[in-house]
Amino acid sequence: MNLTIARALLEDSRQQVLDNKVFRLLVLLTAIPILASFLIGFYPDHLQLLWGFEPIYWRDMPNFLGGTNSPGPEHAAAVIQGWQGTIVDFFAGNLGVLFCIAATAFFMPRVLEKGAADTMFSKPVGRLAILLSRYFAGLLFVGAIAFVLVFGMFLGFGLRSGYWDPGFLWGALTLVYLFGMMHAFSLCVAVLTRSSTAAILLTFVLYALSSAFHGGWMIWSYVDDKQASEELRAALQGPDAGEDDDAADGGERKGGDPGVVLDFLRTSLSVAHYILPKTSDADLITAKLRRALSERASDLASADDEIEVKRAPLGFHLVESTRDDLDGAGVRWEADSGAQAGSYVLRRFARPEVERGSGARARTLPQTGIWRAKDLADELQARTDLLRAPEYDSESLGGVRAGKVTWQEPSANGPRERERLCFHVNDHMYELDVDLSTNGEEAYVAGSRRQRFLADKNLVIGNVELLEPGEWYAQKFDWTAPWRFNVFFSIGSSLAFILAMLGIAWWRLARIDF
Amino acid sequence: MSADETILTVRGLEKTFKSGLFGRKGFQALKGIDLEVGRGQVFGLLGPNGAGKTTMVKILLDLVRGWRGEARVFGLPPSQAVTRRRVGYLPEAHRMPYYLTGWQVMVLFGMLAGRDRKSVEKRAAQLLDRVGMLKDCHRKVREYSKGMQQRLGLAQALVHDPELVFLDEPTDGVDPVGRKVIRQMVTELAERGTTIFINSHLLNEVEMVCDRVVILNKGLILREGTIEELTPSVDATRFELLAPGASLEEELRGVGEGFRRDGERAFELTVDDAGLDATIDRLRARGHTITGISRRRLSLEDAFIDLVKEDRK
Repeated sequence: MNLTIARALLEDSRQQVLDNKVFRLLVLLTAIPILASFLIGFYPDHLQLLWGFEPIYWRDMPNFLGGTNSPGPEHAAAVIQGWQGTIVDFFAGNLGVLFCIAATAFFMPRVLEKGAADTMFSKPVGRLAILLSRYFAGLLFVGAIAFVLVFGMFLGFGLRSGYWDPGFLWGALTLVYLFGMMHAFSLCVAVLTRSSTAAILLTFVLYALSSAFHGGWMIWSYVDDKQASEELRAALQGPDAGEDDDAADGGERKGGDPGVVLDFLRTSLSVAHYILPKTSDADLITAKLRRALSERASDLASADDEIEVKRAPLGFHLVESTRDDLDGAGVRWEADSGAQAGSYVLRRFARPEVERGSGARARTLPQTGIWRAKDLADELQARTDLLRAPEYDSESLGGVRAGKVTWQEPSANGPRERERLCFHVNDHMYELDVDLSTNGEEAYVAGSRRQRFLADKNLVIGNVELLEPGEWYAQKFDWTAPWRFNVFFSIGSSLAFILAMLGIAWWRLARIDF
Repeated sequence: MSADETILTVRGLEKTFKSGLFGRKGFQALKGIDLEVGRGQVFGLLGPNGAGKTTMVKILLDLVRGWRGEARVFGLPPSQAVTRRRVGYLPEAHRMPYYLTGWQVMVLFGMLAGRDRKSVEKRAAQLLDRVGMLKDCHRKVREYSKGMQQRLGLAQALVHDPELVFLDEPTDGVDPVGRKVIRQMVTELAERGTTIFINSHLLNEVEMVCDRVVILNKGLILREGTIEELTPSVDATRFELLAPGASLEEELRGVGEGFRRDGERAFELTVDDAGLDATIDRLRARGHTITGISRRRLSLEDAFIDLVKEDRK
């Protein structure tokens, strides 16, 4: 195929797309979020509709609309990211792609209609070239809409709200990637049946099935992993792991070996998952790419990937000389206004063996975070100089249970708010010491900053089971993960699916008598 | 360029369209066709429905595959795309891309044939003018009438200056003026050395423009030859008289054979050259005024129907 023919096919595809009414409708629909991104301003402490209207403060808004008691630039950015995700990942990535499938499903059947096919295929153009031209016409169709949507919103949020996140632009590419998988299948069905209705319906079925199989496979893998994790925890923590640890009631594996039917189901599910396109991974790939492009390097990451702190607490900075002291005196974040204003110190060490129980039931077990925090609370009770008595509590931290003790103590610079969080990960014990002046900022501001620092997305703890299979899979899914969770495998197998569909379509097309 | 140059050869061409589960059933559309066509000929391809005309053309254009025998276009098998650069095709009941304008259709198909845009645009303007579509060429195809689409179809088949053109029912839906233009275009193309295949059920049109005709039936060639060879003059002579009486047959008794009245003022009689003079003498002697005498030829339609009927027997 020479350049002239390729140019003619491209021009034909462009005309076909521009003539499409659904395309025009989708372009109009994409104008809505783009317009909104230009008209609504997202600012650190408020949101403003149009210009000159009264600002709406985040503190006055309900939670589901992004309201919060701890506003700030990061909160505004998080709300914008949430909107971007809703529009691009949910609406465009699901409804939009289904719309596009319906809008492009007729591309090939129209070419194969009697009368149209005769004229087209009587030209010196290979059947494969015409098949590919229709495939790329579809990609052009979606690519144009996706680019308008994503780039328009990118400009809108940037110009109006000052939020420039080039990582968001990956969203357009992911939409095309997602559509590319479905379009290849739609094209294959269209060639086999010469019916646009069959192409639309079967592609919808595939879309639903691939999500269902992927979801099923993910849950099954998650359950397997959880069982293995429970066994590991049981081995590490023993039967008396503590009141907050439900998994500590023994390492007995429930259910026993699956039967033949379950084995068969499992194998079928796995085969279907590996063969079908990984449509559900598209969002995760976008997130990975986005992070790779737009996120700063983590503030702290342990060499063994067991713990990662993405950002320092707001108003604090990492003391560089302590960066490598995680396994020693601890990594230290100090307040920008001076150490006396406050500090966070994170350290870890091997979990000590402790004696539990008494008499004949006494046993030596690895210490848990809960036990350690309780022991600290008991020790502090003995101190008489404290301004406020120690209080014990527990909370979830990056997916693990941590014991927490808070108290107030005097110092040369005035009273100090103290807090220690203890948690264990595999064979490490972690302690996070929070030391804040009570003279500085308002208590609630300090509290909200502490919450943001300890939030799951900022404090990432590896090698632990998370509560939700989706989050578990998202954590496993990585560029360097084992092949089952590997991004390259996901992309590669989906591309293989596209090639297989186009291959089948070509095989059939080469045998059609027009 | 000469008619001696063979541009299309078909030998023992067979094609069976398979159907049913695993293709166990089938319909044999071509049962062994032999044909050779030289440059500059206008070839009429005739036959009843299902005779295999379109199948043969489509094999030559690589639109139908899985055939047996030998087929060569410009000395190459039809599967070679390069042959189609030199071939134009107007399919029956064609559908041009409805989302394009007439002009865009011309440019698309010209470029798909491998011609550069500039030369295609130049040729497109000439052709659209010739078929009377230049005025409407910037309207979308979906707005065209059937006749307009047919004119555009013909123009697109010629946009890349092909040396061989297949026209399947070229005048279908076209008004009489348009038909005349198409006939003129065919004649001009043939004069320039283009070989043209015309597949049509309008036999009088075929008779007007074709110099060779092939009649197919049930996948086989029944007859092939020039129009003259297929439509020999019959011995019947037609006489037209000013006022023939009722006893005309009686008056001509003994002259010629097969007397047949043809309307009120004409009759036919089978006579040789000597008999022709005798008939004229007899008529003049009886006081008749002769207004016309003509030798009757078998029309292509008659020849076609006779051949097909004969084949059915």
